[in-house]
Formats: sequence, structure tokens, C-alpha cells
Amino acid sequence: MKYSSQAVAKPYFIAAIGLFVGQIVFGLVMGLQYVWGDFLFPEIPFNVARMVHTNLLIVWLLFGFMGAAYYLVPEEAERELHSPLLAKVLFWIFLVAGALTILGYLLVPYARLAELTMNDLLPTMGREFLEQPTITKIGIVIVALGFLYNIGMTILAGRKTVVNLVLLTGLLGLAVFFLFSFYVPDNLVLDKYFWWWVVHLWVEGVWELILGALLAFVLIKITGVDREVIEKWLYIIIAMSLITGLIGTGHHFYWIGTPGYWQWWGSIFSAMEPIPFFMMTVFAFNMVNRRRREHPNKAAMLWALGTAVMSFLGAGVWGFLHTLAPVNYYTHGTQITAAHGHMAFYGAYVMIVLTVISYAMPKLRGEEAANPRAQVVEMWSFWLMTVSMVFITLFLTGAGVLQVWMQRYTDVPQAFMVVQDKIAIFYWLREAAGAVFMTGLILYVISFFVTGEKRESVSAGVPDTA
Amino acid sequence: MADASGKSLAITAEALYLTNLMLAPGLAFVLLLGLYWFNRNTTDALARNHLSQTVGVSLTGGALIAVAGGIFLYLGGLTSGYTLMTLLFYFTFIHSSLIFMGVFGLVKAMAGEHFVYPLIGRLFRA
Repeated sequence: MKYSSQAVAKPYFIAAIGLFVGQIVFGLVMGLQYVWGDFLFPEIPFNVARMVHTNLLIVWLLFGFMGAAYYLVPEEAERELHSPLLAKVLFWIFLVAGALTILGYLLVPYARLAELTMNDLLPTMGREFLEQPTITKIGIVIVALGFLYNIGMTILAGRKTVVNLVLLTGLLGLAVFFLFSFYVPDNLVLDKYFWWWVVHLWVEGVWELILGALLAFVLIKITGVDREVIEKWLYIIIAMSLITGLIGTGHHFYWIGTPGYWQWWGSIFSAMEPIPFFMMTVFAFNMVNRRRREHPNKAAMLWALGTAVMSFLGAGVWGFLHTLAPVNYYTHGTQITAAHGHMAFYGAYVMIVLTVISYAMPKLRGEEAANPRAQVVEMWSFWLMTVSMVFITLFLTGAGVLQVWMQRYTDVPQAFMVVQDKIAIFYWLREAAGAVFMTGLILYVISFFVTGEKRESVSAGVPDTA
Repeated sequence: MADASGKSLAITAEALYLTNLMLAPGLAFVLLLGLYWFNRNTTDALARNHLSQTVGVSLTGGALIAVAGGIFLYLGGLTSGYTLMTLLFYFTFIHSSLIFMGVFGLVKAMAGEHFVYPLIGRLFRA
């Protein structure tokens, strides 16, 4: 690595991977609870397992984004991080707060957790994905402010690149839109309306800027293509992301009590949401095809290309599948949504974080790239996780289509639980695919410990034109 | 080495192929056919390669979707949820595969390189 302060990224990456493992464990638990309702009941009820699964996802991705930013920003700004100490302190605050929150979910009934954390003073709990106690949310805001101050000061004092500025814009947006988690109107329509300002405007808005910036950074490094070319692509991609994603929020407003025009706005703009993901695919393959160097980190390149492909499939294709209002009328809240959610999160955000880790971790450990044996193991983990995620998505889509057919698109709709029983086979298959995913993840962790021929710590023979 | 107009033709052909799949089905294909017709005797090998590949694969892809889709409908009937599920899986698989192949084609065209679509492209070598 070029700057010693980039080392603060390492604990963030380690924590991210650890929490990722936890997320998948709870995913497997709740996957089994779909077909074996009493599994681990009453110790871990389904609603708690689901909350832990989704909250861990959000927290570890945030750890990943922050680690990526701490690694990337000094290198782009060509100076040391403003305050490595602040980064380390914030890491421990965030980790402890996150761990306590998860323990709270698991050890105390949710209502009691609300009492203990004095939710009544500023009630923000009880909403899907934003279940964190208010005090944790305040902690997240403090960590985010400290983090933005740290990287903001680094960028202000150093070189301003498009990658840096797009990343900073995305992270600022992430922090700003999280503030809507504190706004809980009594009116249920307004409540859902502004809830989406956090959830949608994160994953289909500002997070796409973070994704674009991280992908651009890794591609600059591993392909050696001129920065100017990559930056032009990045401008167009983020412009399309914001043009389509912001008003595309409307696809969540169809059935919550908002005016009917949202069915038009939501349908039209969200139908265009695959475009930036498609452009990202063309961008990534184009850059790799035009590469001016053979970077020794083949695994990072695989993750980068995989991100482009899987985000287009998961966020683009599977999003489009059920985004038009006349289709969504039948499909909303079915397993089709779960299918889209799984592949989109994995393809876009899990994979980009793993791309950055794959690129940065060897450098943080004093190598240009991991040894070839470790890379082989890592690439195995890539394929196991990616292929099993494709199957998880297909099984959930199959379950969702049948659910729509039997429960929604019929003159004689069957009861919810009757339908659930009839599609149980898909849940078993999904669980099996989930077990394969876990195997891939274990291999991924193992890949960090595989020893082999050590590479040079500096990019000898690999000119860094960026 | 292709000249600029040949490369431009190749890129346009790939862009129309992708537009037909994603934005303007039918209309973009008619434009692609027109482009092919008016440039079918071009001396530029790169343009010929991409024009014949995109037209051929578009036709084959359309046939794959229509014919196999029709067979699924005929065998499964309209009253089964499994028919809808199979159709959806099949369409998504074929359609996404055609898009990804188009991405590779476009990338190659932009780099001024020849491209033969996997599996079905060999039938349409210029």
C-alpha cells in the first residue's frame, strides 16, 4: 500500500467478513424455519432471525464501505488519512454498538429492548430494516459524521479525483438519507413514504454511487486503463443511476395510499433502472478488454466482472421483472420480491465489497496479490457463492410465481399458509442452495490463510499508471 | 485493421441488437435489418462480421423464445402455474444470455475486434 494510514481499513474488512458469516448463519436458520416452523423456537423466533439476518447485512456492508473508503481515499487523494486514530476509535464504537444491538435482539424480547433503550423518548423502533434502538441509530449518525469528517478532510487537503468525489457524494447521501429513520409520522402512509427515503434511496440511489466509485477504482488499478476514460464512464453511470433511481422510488408508492400518478412515474422511471447496471456491465468488460497490464490479482478481476454481471441480473433484470405497476399489483410482497432482494444485494453490494477486499487485503498484508493457491481457493468461493445465489434466486422466483398464481392471480385465492405448504419444496431447495453458499463463504475465509509463494510488496513489473 | 466507418457500423449493429432486446423490440430489429441490407456488400470485414452476427443471432434468439415458449404453452396449458413459472425461467435465461452475449459483442466492436457469438454465432460467419 502507498500510505501507512490505509492500514486502518484492515479491521473494517475483518469485521465485515465476520458479520457476513453471522448473516449467512441466520439466513440458514430462518431458511429452515420456513419449512420447519419450530426450529430453534422459542430461543430464536423467525422474526428475530430475520431481523438479525437483514441488520447484519446492512451493518457489514457499512463496515465494508467504510473500510473501502479508508483504503481508497488516501490513495486517490495522494496523502495520508486526516486522522487514523479517529478511524480506529470509530471502528470500535461501531463494532461494539452493532454487537450490543444484535445481542439485544437475541437476548431480550423486542418490546423490552425498546423499553431498556428508552425508545419512548424518541420512538424510531419497529420498522422493517430500521429496527435498531434509537440509541444505536444515534450512534450510527455519530460514526457516520466522524467518518465523513475524516475522509472529507483528507479529500479537501489532497488531490480531488472523480472517484473520490463520487464516493464522497454517495457516502454523504447515505448519511443524509439515514436521518429519515428518525422521522416517524403517525400517519401510516407518510410513515411508509419516508421509510422508503431511507431504504430505496440508499440501495437504488446513493449506494449505486458508492458502487460505481469502488468499481472504477479497482478497474483503474487492475486494468491500467487511462483514468480519464474510466471517469467518463463513471459520470454517465452515476447520472443514469440518479435520473432513474430517484423518481424510481415511485415503484414503492403504488399501494401504500399515495396518489395514483405514482403508478406512472414509478413504472416509467424504474423500468429504466436497469440501464445504469447494464452500462456498468459494458463498462467493466470494456475496461478489462482494453487492459494495459496483466495484474497478478486474478481474483479481484473476477470479483469486479462478477459484480457487473450479477448486479445487472439481480438489480436490473429481477428488478424489472416486477416493477411495472400492473405486474406489481400481483407480485408485491411475494417471494419474487425476496428473489430480487437476494440477488440484487449480493450482486451489487456484497460483491463490490468483496471486490475491494480482494484487491486491497493482499496489499494491506504486504503483497501485490494473494499467492496463486490462495487465489484459486478464493475463485472457488466466488463460483460457489455466485452460482448458489443464482439458484437461491431461481427457487425463490419459482416459489413467488406459484404464490402469485394460487394466491393472487385467481378467482379462487387460496389461504396464505395453504399456499406456503404447497411451495415448500422450493424452500427446501433454497435451503440446500444456501448451504452451498455457506460452503463458498467458508472457503472464502479459508483463502486468507492459504500459504504459498509470497509476492513482492511493491508493484514490481506492474507499472501503476493510475 | 478496420477503418473508422467499419468500426462505427459494427458498433451500431451491436447497439441495435441490444436495443432490440432491451428498449425497442421489433423497431430496433427492423433498423438492424435495414443496416444489414444496405451494407451487406461492404468490404470492411469487421462490419460484415458484426452485421451478420447480430442479424443471425437476433433471428435465432427470437425463434428460441417464440418456438420453445409456444411448446411450453402447448404442453403445459394456460391453466397451470408451472407453465407460467417455466416460461418465465426460460425467457429470463435466454433473454439475459442474449443480452450478455451482446455486451461482449459491443465491447469487441468498440475495440475494433471480430466477435463470434457463443454456440449459435458460428452459423453466421460473414
